[in-house]
Amino acid sequence: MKRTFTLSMAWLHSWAGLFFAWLLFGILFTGAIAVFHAEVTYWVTPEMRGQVHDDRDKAIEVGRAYLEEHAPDARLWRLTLPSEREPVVKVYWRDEKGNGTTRRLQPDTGETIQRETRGGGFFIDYHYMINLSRKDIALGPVGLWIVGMAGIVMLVACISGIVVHKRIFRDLFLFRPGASRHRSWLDAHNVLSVLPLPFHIIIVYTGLVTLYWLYVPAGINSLYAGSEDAFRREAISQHYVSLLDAPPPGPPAPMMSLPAINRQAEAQFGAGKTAYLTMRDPNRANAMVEAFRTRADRVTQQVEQIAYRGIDGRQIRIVEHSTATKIQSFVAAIHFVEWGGAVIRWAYFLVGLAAAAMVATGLVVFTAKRETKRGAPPWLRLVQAVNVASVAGLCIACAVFFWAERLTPADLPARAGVPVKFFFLSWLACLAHAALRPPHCAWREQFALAAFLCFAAPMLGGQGWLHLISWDTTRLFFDLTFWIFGAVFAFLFFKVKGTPTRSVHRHELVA
Amino acid sequence: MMLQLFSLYMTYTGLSSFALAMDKHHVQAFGERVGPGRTRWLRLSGSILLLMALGLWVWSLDVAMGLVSWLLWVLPIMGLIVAAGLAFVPRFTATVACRRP
Repeated sequence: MKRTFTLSMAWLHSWAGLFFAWLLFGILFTGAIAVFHAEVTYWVTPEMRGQVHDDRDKAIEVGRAYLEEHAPDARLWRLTLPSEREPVVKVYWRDEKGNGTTRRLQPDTGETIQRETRGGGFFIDYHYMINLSRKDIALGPVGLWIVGMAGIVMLVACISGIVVHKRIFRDLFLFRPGASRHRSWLDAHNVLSVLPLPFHIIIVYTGLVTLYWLYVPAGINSLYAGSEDAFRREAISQHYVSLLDAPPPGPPAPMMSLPAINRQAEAQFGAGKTAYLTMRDPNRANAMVEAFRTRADRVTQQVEQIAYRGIDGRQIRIVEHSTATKIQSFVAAIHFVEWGGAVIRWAYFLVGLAAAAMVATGLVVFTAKRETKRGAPPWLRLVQAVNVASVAGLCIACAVFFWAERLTPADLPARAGVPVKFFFLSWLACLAHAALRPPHCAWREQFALAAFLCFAAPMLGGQGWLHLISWDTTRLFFDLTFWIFGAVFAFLFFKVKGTPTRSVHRHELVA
Repeated sequence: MMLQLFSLYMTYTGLSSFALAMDKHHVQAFGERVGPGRTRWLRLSGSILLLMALGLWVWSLDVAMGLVSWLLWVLPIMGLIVAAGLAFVPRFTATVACRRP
């Protein structure tokens, strides 16, 4: 414990902040991108066309025909209908061993889209589990634990930050770019933290609530003998059956027409409101078809779902969720923003970027404060290198991901993993570069590279001008956002050039 | 849409009035300290503008969505614009908010 409460909080804020900021910048930055996950997928798939497809019966038939042909023995089918944001039919199936496969089809012709991609899904996976899937690690959901811990530390940093910052209201708008290096970055850090503070706190809190049961496994271990399914049946829905526990499939029996079942469901949801259909044990006597309502116009994650018997389409039940689940799913939906349309998504994107910028400026403040006239502690060099890599390096890695998506041939086998490999390799390269170069040069050079990557990304594969000709507004906005990011990185490149100001100069003179 | 844009603008003017009511920002924008009477006037008009902006925003959406989205997104985004504006183009920021010396 330090001498006073404020000093203790300052210590906590800077040290907990430092170590977790390296993680948090990436989590917040990819989270801001993940708000537009459907648009990312759309941008990286030139085969997807922008027209809204209204013939939903045709789309369902197209999807079913594909599944009948390619996955007749699967235990589970999922057929996602085309929507405004993702105008394709998505089919997904899981075999006996639980391995899933996804394919995308053109809704009108039924043509398969060859290009495999994780698209926006990669940014979601990085955001909530640093891309460490539960399947990859025997120990458990390690990625989720790491991100959860970072989230809790961000809450701690928000609150200790309020204690440390004594002039919250007086310095609400105060930003002095011309002041000393430490002062001006501290101003930026304060402005970016205090004005959006309600958002920062709520986005972290709602993020933690989405996966609440994972952070303290002792609860499920002691009350449900470690069975997550038993917990889910009690907490979420009494009808929950995981695929592994499901009884064996019955004898073959033809399933009813799916468009007819979907019309029944849409009579209750509203026209065009079905998001996807799932089929358990399709074309078997015990087949069950479930229709799920869209999330686009409701603030909830647990959508309404209706189950039908596969062979004759009789309604089995409307799935009821417990009150606790309804509240949790409302809180989680505040985090997921599948509702509210483009305006809300842009708002989340911008304030999410402000949160990422808050973390980045915090890192710069940490080092600027310790670079005094008398020189800097020797370990600061290490901190500076990791700072550069975790901020500028991550921006480069994201841009490289988009480059790899554009440049990898569409028909490459196992294509979806390629851009991800490029993401992590380029990030590693940035860390090596930051370790070898002096900090100012590392910042400058990485920002220059990030600016170049962003400026060029829309033009790769001869795409850029096509978007202008076809007036594809979603892709055009995407291109424009790339250029704005390029301009911001270029601005930072020139800004860092001017900053070896007094304090650093003096330190260099002494050294 | 028009109502929401107008509400955004009023949030901006309201927040910049609050900022200009502080000595530091008044000096930034107009090169002179703010007097006590002017501080009071700026704060009063700023609060009225913010209340009207909130009212308009809530009215043009609905109560739940309106309150939450104004507090979580409109206020911080406009605040960051005001802070950046006062730092880089202080006089222009005040002019856009219809504030003269």
